[in-house]
Amino acid sequence: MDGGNRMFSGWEVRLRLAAVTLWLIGLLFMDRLPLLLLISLLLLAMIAADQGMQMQSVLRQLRGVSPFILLMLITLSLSGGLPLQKTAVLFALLICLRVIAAVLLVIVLLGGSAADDFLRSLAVLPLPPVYLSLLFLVNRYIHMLTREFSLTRQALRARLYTPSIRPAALKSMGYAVGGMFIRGYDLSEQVYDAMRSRCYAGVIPFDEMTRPQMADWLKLAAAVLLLASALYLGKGV
Amino acid sequence: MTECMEIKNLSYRYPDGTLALDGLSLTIPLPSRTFILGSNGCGKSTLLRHLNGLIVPEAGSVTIAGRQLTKKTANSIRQNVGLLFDNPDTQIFSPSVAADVRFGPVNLRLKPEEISRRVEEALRTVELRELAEKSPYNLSLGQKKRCAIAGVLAMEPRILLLDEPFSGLDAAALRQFLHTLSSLYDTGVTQIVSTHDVDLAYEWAEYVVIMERGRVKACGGRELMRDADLMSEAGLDLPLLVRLFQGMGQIPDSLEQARQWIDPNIRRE
Ligand SMILES: Nc1ncnc2c1ncn2[C@@H]1O[C@H](COP(=O)(O)OP(=O)(O)OP(=O)(O)O)[C@@H](O)[C@H]1O
Ligand SMILES: [Mg+2]
Repeated sequence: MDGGNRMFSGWEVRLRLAAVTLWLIGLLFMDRLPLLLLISLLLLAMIAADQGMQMQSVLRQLRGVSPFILLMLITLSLSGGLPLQKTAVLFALLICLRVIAAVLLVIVLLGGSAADDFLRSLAVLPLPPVYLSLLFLVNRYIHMLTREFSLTRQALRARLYTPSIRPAALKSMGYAVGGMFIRGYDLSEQVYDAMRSRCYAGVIPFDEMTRPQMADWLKLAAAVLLLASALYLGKGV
Repeated sequence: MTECMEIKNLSYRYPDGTLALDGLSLTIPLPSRTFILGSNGCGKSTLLRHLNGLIVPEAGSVTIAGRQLTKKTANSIRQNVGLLFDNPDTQIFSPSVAADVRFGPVNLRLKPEEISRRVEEALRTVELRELAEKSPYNLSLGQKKRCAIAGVLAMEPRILLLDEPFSGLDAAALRQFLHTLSSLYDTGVTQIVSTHDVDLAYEWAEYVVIMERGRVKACGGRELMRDADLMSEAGLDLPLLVRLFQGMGQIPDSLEQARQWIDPNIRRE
């Protein structure tokens, strides 16, 4: 492997899954705002420093969930009615910070882009192979559909399409989206054919496993230790 | 009896009603270097999809080295019959070049070391090693084609079905690919190639199949490609060499041979 910092992305996936699961449970018991804020910032900094993870895609994922978090923040803050009550706002902040920390943890779990490796490692857990193959296919399919979407957008732009609510614009948008879905359907058939032509027979053998190294276990130990101290700090006065 | 691939009375209609193959019969010797020629839409790709078992024969039969292709045998036959799709975009689906090349060997349930060796070797053959971790969607067309080729080569099939394998390759990549095909051929790997490049076919083919509207119009040695009437009826151009030497009594088999013939003549003058 290259020598760069791969704190999370280089971490053996099963142990990473174990650590993240423990932390996700631990989060539920943390109810101090500064502590949660600190954890979130720390996670973000560590993700940013990890050269195996693309900050751009991390930010994109965060941006994707931000509307929901915002919505939650507003509704929870208003749960005590107007005028805003301090306890309600604090509670809303607490929940939102927990969610943000959880999202960051899941990002750590996926470790950037290697969803394939992730699935492959899950294969050793007692999960039925068909279920894993399904996850694998869905992952591939979403990947290709996203690409199809951006290609369609480019094709529209190349012919000077600008989004607007004029009926004509809406109509061509409708055609484009319709075409995209038809292509998406074709695509799923194509992927299936491409896989079959290379001997895919319903189940993907995820057998190229890597064994966890000493460093992976050490990372798990560190994660557990950190979690224990965070929980302890949270309880302390 | 020498081995062969036998196609009998094969017909296929696409769901939308297009009759793509119309009672096609053909025997391809194994091993051989076979080129399938024919105009757009005559059914070349559809035929190749049958030979890899992507489409299981509904009417007619395909028998490969004595084993008939059915739904049951398709997957095991496929282990020895690799198919390169005409459009690399429809063949490639993985997040990285290396992952896509690895897909086939993993399905063959090979040992991890063997998988790595094959991926490495296939990527070296198509000279894509530097781009191994790149997303295949962000490759140029020729690079995608090379990625798709690597994905098939890594499975090391005994029979290679290549649907327009040369389009999009630059001169160096084409030379390298032809070189690879040559050495594979020397180890007994059959190649069945569909192409529109009559010049390449004329130089490389050992066995030529000319298709027209879902049927075999003619098959035989490359001398078929010297038949002006046959070629034009099938909507094909004559190879350059044939056009050049037409009416001169003899037609050379290759550029090399043509040069040997011409050289002394030029010196004589
Ligand atoms: N998925 C499909 N659905 C319906 N008809 C199809 C489909 N694919 C191909 N066809 C039709 O089947 C016929 C044979 O197509 P095929 O792709 O086999 O031709 P080809 O000889 O490979 O042509 P080309 O030289 O253009 O690659 C054509 O008339 C085509 O329109
Ligand atoms: Mg074709």
